[in-house]
Amino acid sequence: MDAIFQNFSNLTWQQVVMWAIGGILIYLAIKKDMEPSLLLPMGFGAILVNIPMSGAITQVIDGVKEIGVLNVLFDGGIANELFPLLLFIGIGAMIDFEPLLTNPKLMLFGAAAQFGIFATLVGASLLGFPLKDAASIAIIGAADGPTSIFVANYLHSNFLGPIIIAAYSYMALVPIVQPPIIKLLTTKKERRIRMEYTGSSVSQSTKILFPIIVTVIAGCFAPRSVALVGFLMFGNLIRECGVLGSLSDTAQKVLANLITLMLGLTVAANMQASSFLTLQTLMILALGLVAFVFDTAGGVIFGKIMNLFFKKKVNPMIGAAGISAFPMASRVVHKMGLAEDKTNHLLMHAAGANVAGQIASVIAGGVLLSLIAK
Amino acid sequence: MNLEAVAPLSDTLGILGLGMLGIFIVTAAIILTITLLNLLSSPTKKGKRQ
Repeated sequence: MDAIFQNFSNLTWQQVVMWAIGGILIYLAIKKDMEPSLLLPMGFGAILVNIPMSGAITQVIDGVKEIGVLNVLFDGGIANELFPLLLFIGIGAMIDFEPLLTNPKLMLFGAAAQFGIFATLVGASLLGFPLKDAASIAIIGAADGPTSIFVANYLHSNFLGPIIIAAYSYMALVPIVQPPIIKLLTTKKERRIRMEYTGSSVSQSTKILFPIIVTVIAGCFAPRSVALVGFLMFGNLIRECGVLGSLSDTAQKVLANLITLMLGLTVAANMQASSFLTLQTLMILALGLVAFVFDTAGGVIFGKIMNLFFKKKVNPMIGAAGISAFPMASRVVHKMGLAEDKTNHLLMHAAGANVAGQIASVIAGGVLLSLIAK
Repeated sequence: MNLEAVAPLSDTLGILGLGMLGIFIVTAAIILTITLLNLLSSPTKKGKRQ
């Protein structure tokens, strides 16, 4: 009889707190529709790994090491960066770069909106995080889950779990985080600036050559980004080549869904109470917010600076869409534009800046690795 | 760089400056490429219009 109830004595209050955190993640996924495809598996995984002596993770029982399935998945899919890279094929196949190709200047907003990454690196270092962890925390500002996982894992950060939770949670919170910062940094007059959309079409050859050339350029400048950029652009090439419709559909739906499913559960392997419930986790969540704030500010301020030099004014709100969170950031800017002027449609410009942010965030990850891991 | 140690402010500010410069250089190269691609494909459009 004792054997049946024996495991209850192994339960700690920290594990119960992790069950509650898992429950909150599941609640946010279902009731608030916040990145449900990732937060739900992560929430369930958080409960799964925090059951005393959980068989889902590797345990040493009576001196015998019993391998858990989540650790097998972690070693096979995250420790070698396989899952985030495969997910990028799906994301690449989903993205239409046409708004960016018709107005390449929008690429600058993608670059400016990566400021939060580097500003957060400074902040995290000042708070006492070692460089590998400071850089891994900073990459939350990429607003891009796979890039965050790739960089944090590449640097062997001790905080992979909290970093991924912060990255995906803030992406879901973009509609709440961005508007007050945009309003704070812009005047009503600036928010009402109209931008002409030419709508000129882009040739098929340009759409096909674009992913190939971006891979070569980004790879030459930041070789550590070549896997990320390459897989993203490969996905886009499948989409645009015109002869692989079936593969493109599979990458967009089946592949992306399967990897997301595995990724969420596997990430939870790093959410054991002993390593998750620390002061550093709270600091990481705070620094993640700082990264998003500085990203948004960087993009908006860059838009204002551009207006000082260019005759054709841009709406500085477009800069906020330069973060990688796609398509939430562009929707936020579009809605804010409509709120100021019901006839001012900024969606195509914002979408262009948003997909530029997708490329720039990957490049930022590569540049960061090149600078610190040399 | 020692990844296990806390980096001094001068180092992290250096990374900030170089990092943003690096991103803008790559971005400029991509913008130039897109512009060139668009220019190269524009004669075809003109041909179609004629």
